[in-house]
Amino acid sequence: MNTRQPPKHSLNIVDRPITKSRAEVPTVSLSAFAYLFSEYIQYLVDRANSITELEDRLEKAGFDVGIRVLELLSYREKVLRRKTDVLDILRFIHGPAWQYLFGKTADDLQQAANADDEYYIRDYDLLISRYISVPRSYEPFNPGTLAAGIMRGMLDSAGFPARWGTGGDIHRKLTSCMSCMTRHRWGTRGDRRYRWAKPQFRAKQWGSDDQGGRWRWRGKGAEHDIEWW
Amino acid sequence: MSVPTLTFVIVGQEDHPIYEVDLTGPKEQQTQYLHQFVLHSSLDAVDEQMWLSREPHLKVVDRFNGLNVTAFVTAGNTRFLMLHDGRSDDALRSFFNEVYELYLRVLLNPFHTPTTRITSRDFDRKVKLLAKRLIG
Repeated sequence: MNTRQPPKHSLNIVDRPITKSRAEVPTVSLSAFAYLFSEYIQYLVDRANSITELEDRLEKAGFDVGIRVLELLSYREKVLRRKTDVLDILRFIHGPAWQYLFGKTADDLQQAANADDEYYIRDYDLLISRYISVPRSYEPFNPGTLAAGIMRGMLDSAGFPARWGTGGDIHRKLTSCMSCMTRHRWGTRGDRRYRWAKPQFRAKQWGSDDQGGRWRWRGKGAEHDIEWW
Repeated sequence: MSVPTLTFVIVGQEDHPIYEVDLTGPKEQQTQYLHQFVLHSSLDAVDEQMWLSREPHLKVVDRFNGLNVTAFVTAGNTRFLMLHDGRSDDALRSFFNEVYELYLRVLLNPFHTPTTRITSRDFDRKVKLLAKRLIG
């Protein structure tokens, strides 16, 4: 009996290769991600009792991602080097990590004027919250908490534990030495008739209205047929 | 003792051992306890050197009674420790690099919590094969 090469999905976790070169990194379409993200937020909204709890859960999800992103990106760099200084890790987050996650570097990295243990990382158009509009009843909530969680995961696993707080912007404070803040400028979407966490795209509508029916989404480079009820 | 020693431990965030294996085969209880003890007490030395250097490979960080402990620290501050009796540094380096890749694959599993033990038998098998191949 000859042994065939098993199909890729049945390879166990330690046999599957990690792409080492940057060119072959697999990507996901933005529309698919936005859809998944909106569903995830709806899932959390059902389970959370308050806005802070909602943000906490979202941030925890990002935390797990952050740990893995840090290790993976460090592995892919040509020379393996650890970051022993907090500025190093912040620059790493601002540059390569943001580039890997969102396709562009973050807009700004600066130190706060009042406290020397606070740092700001700004991104004016955060990719994950681009297609989300928050209704007024949920006003303090910022879906960019996921990105804040990713950052905290990376900082924490590198040895710079970060505390995080809330406010109009998402920020995290690092213990004893510093804190980071991400600011997202809100795009106000005005009044929408349907549930607030649905992704908004340039959509062509077929048939019925937004109470149900079929839509064709034209996301970034992808087209999907999605049925809403 | 003429018995060769080669024990490998992966230590995670809260100084929990995530994975330990004795690469030269099972040993009697006393030596096992001794090896564990030496490895865990060398964590202090690893911590000191970790913050001084950016290199992931730290050469021998601690010595005890003829046994050496070599360490490798990953970007997420996971420490790989090897207790040995004077093996070649290059062999250990290549071993650490290969195990790093394997560890990364286990870590990327979204169902794996980074602070729990690695119980995958395939991982175990591969580590043992690597050790046999690279260190002898």
